[in-house]
Amino acid sequence: MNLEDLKSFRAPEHVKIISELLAQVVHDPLNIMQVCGTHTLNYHKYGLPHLMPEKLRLFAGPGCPICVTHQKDIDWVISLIKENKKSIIATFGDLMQVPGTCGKSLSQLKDEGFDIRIILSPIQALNLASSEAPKRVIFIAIGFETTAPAVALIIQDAMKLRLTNFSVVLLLKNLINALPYLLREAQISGLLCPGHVAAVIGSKAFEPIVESLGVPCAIAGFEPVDILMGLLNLAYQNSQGLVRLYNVYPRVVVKNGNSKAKELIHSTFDMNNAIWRGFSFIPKTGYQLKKAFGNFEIKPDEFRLRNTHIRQLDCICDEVILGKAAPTSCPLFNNPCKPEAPIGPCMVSREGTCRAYYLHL
Amino acid sequence: MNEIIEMTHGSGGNSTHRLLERFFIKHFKDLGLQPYNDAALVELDNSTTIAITTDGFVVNPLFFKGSNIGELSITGTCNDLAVMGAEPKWLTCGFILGTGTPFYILEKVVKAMSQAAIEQKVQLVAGDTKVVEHHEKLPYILITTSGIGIIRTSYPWHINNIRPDDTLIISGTIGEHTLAVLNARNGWFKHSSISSDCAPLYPMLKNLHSQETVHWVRDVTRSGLAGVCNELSDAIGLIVELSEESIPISEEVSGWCEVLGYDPLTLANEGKALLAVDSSAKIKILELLRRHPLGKDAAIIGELKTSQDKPMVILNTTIGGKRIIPPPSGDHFPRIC
Repeated sequence: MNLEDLKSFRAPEHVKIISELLAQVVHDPLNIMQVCGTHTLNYHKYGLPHLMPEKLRLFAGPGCPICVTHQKDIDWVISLIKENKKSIIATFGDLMQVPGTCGKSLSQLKDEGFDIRIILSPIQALNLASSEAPKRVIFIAIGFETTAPAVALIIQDAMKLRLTNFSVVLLLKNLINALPYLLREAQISGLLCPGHVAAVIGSKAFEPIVESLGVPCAIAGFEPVDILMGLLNLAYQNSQGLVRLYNVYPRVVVKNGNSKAKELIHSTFDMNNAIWRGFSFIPKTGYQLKKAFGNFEIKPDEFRLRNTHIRQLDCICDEVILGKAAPTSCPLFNNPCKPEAPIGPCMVSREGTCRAYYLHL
Repeated sequence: MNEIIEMTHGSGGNSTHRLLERFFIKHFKDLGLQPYNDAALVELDNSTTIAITTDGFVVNPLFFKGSNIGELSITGTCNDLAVMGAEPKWLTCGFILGTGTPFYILEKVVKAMSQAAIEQKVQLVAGDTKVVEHHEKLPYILITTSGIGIIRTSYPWHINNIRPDDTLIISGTIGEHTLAVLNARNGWFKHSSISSDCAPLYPMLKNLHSQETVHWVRDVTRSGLAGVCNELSDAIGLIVELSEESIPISEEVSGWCEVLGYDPLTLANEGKALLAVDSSAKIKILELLRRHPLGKDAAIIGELKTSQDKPMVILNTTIGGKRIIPPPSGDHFPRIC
């Protein structure tokens, strides 16, 4: 796709036509959940709330990888960094600001002199291990199905290169297996499903979600026209009493997904249990390296597995990510929890619901 | 008791403002402090008013595509004077040098300062050096410069002159400086052509000295257009309404921002001015700006409005939506995926 084609998905005239159609289809109150953090972010970035029918309410779901990371995992990462003073830590930018239960974040550890590098792609972590050898590089991998293939690829490369100074911490999570657990109590009239996850695993993988949750689902892209097409589809399904899965992002998402990416995931990882913020353990939503690659993984020790119901202060991020509470009902929202001094992960991540509310409402 | 200075206090965003209020405005306000402008005005006699300012430069790394700490330390202070309607004349500089800083690096920085001062026709009339212990074997140079300029407009460009229906004009594209520095610091895109926009504003702004329809001008540096517009809105109690479509942003900057998840409105610039002008004269001022090479991309980007609501910055998005632009928090962490 060239830039000109992309522009048509941002064209004001197309946005106008679809929002007018949307207004005609929405009669009864609709509660739509955006599963993906990038949907939440772009919805606000493009000023879409201004164009929504009054009866259509959108709220963000559990689709921000930082927001669903349990504080116990953050604590564990912080203790790991402290134990490995001479190592280089490589991770994505969003993880830098999340405080653990101790109140400290990776950003503060960096200010204290720990060697923490922000990377844009997993391959940069691998390159660091090659260029900085013999120094050890620990890559803190975080993300969903979208990030997992790239992490798998560098682990396979590390194996081929026989690197001995490269380790990975897997905070990766599988979203599709978690959705039925996370949303079983959610009161929603439709699910705007994440286009990028679907691009990897295929639209077919979302069919069981429609069955188990019994709500209309639409897989949507991230440009304003994509988001509006998804919403229009969900509103139409509601008006006609349909409960189906539609793929309104066919220029990127196909039924079986990306076979190469899926193969990379399957040949590198086994699935295990993972702890989710606000939900404790969910089976088959975490990743661990297959035995053949086992030496590269630093596994959590036992202490992480206890007291998973811990919650810091009055932060209600765990309820926010499940759509049970709006950010504004959190006693910490805006005072003292703000983007420059976040307390909960939903304020840390640019994809976080609280941050999106703070920035754009 | 446990509060300490953190990096966000230097971001130019909310934390910086709270710091200023809590310490500096609190204790300096009765000593003639003039906040909300880039420089202070002092009337010497009936015919001469001077602008006076000071600025600190702590950029890391010291050299990046398009500029360096030396050139910035001259240009930044001259720009703070130029946006008041002054001709920059005399500068002083202070250096804090870390042990371990190689001489050849210091030579490059000082030479860049000298070149910038010659080009901008200002004199460097006094200076100071101090050395501090620095434990890393890395260059460590911090510079402060102060400057004096003589007001050349009939009235200085000042926030008090702003009127409720003024038009806002930006002198060129935004976002290049922050991206050039971050790229040099992190080495994200080795082949990117993005380069700092560091440039003196005086040669462009002097063409407007006879125009009384220019009310206020601001150097759009740290905290970017979002920060400057929020400060403006706060200080005058008006709504600042911007049109996203009109804000000049190069394809490269907007592409980078999409990849990294940055909002170009929050990125710093080192050679861009925001002007509030009488709406009846907006086209004339725009044409005068565009006559200078630095102002070739100048654009009308918004207006000031009275409102019953609290003062805020509103962006009319390209697709016909609206969003509020909050004061930036000042961090620049790229997004995860």
